Amino acid sequence: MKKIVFNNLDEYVYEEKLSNGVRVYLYPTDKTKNFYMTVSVKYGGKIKEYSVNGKKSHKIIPGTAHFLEHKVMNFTSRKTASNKINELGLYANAYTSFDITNYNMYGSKDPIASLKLLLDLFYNINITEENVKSEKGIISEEFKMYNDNPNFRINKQIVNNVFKNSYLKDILVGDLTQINKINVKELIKVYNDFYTTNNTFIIITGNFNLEETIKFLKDYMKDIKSSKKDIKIIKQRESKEIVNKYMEIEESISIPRVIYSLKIKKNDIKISNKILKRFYLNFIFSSLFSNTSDIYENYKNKSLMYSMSYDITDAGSYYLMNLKMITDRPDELIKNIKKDLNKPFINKATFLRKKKMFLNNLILNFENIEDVEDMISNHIIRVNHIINNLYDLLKEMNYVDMKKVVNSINFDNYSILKVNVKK
Amino acid sequence: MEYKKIVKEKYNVHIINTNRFKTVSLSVIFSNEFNKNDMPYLNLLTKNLISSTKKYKTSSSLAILGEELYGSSVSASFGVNGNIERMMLSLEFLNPKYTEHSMIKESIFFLNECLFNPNVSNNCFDNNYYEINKNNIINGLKSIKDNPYSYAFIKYKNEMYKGTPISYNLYNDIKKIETIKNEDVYKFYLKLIKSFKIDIFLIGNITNENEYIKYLDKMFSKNENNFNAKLNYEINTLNVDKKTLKEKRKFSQSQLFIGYTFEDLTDYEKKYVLTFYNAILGGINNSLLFTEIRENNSLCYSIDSFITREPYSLVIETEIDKSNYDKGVKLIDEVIKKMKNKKDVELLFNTAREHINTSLNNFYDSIITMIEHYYKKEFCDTDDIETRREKFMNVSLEDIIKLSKKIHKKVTYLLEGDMNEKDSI
Repeated sequence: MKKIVFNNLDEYVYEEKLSNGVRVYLYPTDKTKNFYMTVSVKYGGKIKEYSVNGKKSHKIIPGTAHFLEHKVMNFTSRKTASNKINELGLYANAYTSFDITNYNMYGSKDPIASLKLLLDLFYNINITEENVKSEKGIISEEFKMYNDNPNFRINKQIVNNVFKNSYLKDILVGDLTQINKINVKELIKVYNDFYTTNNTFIIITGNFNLEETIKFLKDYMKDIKSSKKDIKIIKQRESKEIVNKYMEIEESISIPRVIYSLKIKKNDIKISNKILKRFYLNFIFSSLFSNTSDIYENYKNKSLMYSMSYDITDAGSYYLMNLKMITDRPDELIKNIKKDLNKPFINKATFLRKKKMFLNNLILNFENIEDVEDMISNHIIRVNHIINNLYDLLKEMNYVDMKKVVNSINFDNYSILKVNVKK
Repeated sequence: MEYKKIVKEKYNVHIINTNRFKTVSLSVIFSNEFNKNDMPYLNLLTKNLISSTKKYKTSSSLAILGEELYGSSVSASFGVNGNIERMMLSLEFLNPKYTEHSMIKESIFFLNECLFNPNVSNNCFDNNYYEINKNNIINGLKSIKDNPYSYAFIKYKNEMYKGTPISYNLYNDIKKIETIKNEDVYKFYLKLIKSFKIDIFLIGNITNENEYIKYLDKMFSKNENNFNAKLNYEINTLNVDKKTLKEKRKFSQSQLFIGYTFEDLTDYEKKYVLTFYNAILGGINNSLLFTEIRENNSLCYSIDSFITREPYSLVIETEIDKSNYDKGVKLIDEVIKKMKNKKDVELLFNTAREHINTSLNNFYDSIITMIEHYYKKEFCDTDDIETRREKFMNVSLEDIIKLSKKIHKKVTYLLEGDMNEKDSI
């Protein structure tokens, strides 16, 4: 078992690779009475097509990853598991993202029994025609719930305007037609191909006994055969170009919105360290758009917008940065944002201040056991190992490199979506 | 964890010393008896106090100050608990062991700036920010109708809790906000700091309590507060007729809320048995509602229940397709009936107990839960967490069955989704 120390943060995580290839990350702490445990598979909505062992490629129906999540974590047809969850008083849940599918349990009683239950559910699926049919009804209601939210529909339009082929264009839960097409054969195939030991990792945080847990996992995994498939993910090529530079739509909202989206090619940013690259982008857009920025203050004071927020999404070979604004003066706002993002400048004082802010973020990554789990999971998805030198990376960041990153971003590669109020 | 209360002349300081958090939290709560006319003023005040100050005349300069202090932040909120209205201003900063010792004084200065040095001239808040904040509030309220859940919940509360503080929502008062004058909000601010009850909560790994008290004493030294009353937390029993209301809007799903009251609840039932009842009915994984409505009949993605306190009620909420409304309501009625059946309740009794046990642990992990707990103690008799745990573990099956006979269905509200599939994505 390896102890991974987070430099200068007075925190550590243990790592163990089990005999069958499953990796385990453990963060024991007695600062809380509860524990949080997850089993994740590096398979999510972003895989649209793949081949196994060089055979003919297989296209996945959008929504399959999410549907499979519902089946793995289904208790209706597995009464014993359901009763056990009840007995232990566990909060059991799961989620699917484009990158992973995560199964989790939160509780305070008997971590070993809880872990066994989680693994039993994960490794013993029960998919039948009958339960797939009944799940379709539930997931269809889930889709309708999202679809009632205008933000959901607006986000779909943004992605369609920016990307030609990206997996982000798919709806994670699938649309009603796609949900209906998903079948038993498809679910079992995807489960067998992706829910393999080398593709799985376990994270346990909170109040549990480290030695007992590792011993239990080693014993449990003796019966889970090592499985590894030679999977080739077929990625869609995506060009740098924006699909729609400008679009107007109507939506069921009370006040108009403007979304300015920037498509940034990862390789254009000449910082080799992926994490540092992302840090710089966070610094840059926080400097430009957070409530400390001149742009934010000017637009607020001139009543050009009521509110403004931004986010950065990883999209394969690209980053998508969305700046979302609520405004009664959309045309004027669009004019101003285009002008202000033509060769933007960030001063050194701002850069140094952001470093202090990000130190806060680094330390608070360890505030709650769910946040620690989330941090570890992100590290595994992004770079396949724990990044324990975050503090050093932050210290390493410098103003000269940040300016280089700013200069390497093509601020002309944008798309604007104007959302009008539906009459 | 250690708790200590220090009673000062003009305010109380509640110190919760715990090494659980990497931050230090300092929250000032102003409380008074609920008056619905105060709500719009509280809303405007919370926004204006953290927009700008005498020294930091712009929002961005205030935000920059926070970043300079390693991500310190001051937030403001307002709300209602029982029959009490309150405004809370909260400072959070990294424990200085991670940064610099001077951060204690500088962060408290940040809070002091927001609370006692507002950006005021001619007895008005800065007019530019005042108008911006007012418009933001109005726009935020107008956009509630775009969110089916928020809209439906307000409509449900209007009917179910009519005449009580929790029925109040600013959504129903947009016109009033539009007419409120800046100078009146400032007058309200002066009234608040001088005549509302003041409680301060300091939470974190506090190794130098005296230093914090020294800064707080200095902060409040010039504020003449004359609060001297007893605030009544409790609300009388809810008086509402049984009714069903429906409304149509263009959404895919329909939002359903059903409210229930209980007759003659004892203190023990209010504090302990009701939580158990709710857990089994719809508060936990595989609750009776979840199993019957979602898993067995695929009528919804989510369904749950929750309790309101002061006044006491139980609410069931779910999203369903409008075509399943009648079936959904019928099944919910059947589940309520099942709660009177010992055999059905017994299956989930231990689960509920374990979930409650886990939830109680969350007290130690949540700053806001700690504040709420000790704040409530200012107004009514509340057991400490471990006593509550003991009492929860002593709740019996018979207690739950006895409570189940006291439940009465009152308000059913359906916001019917009227959108065709072709209108959707």
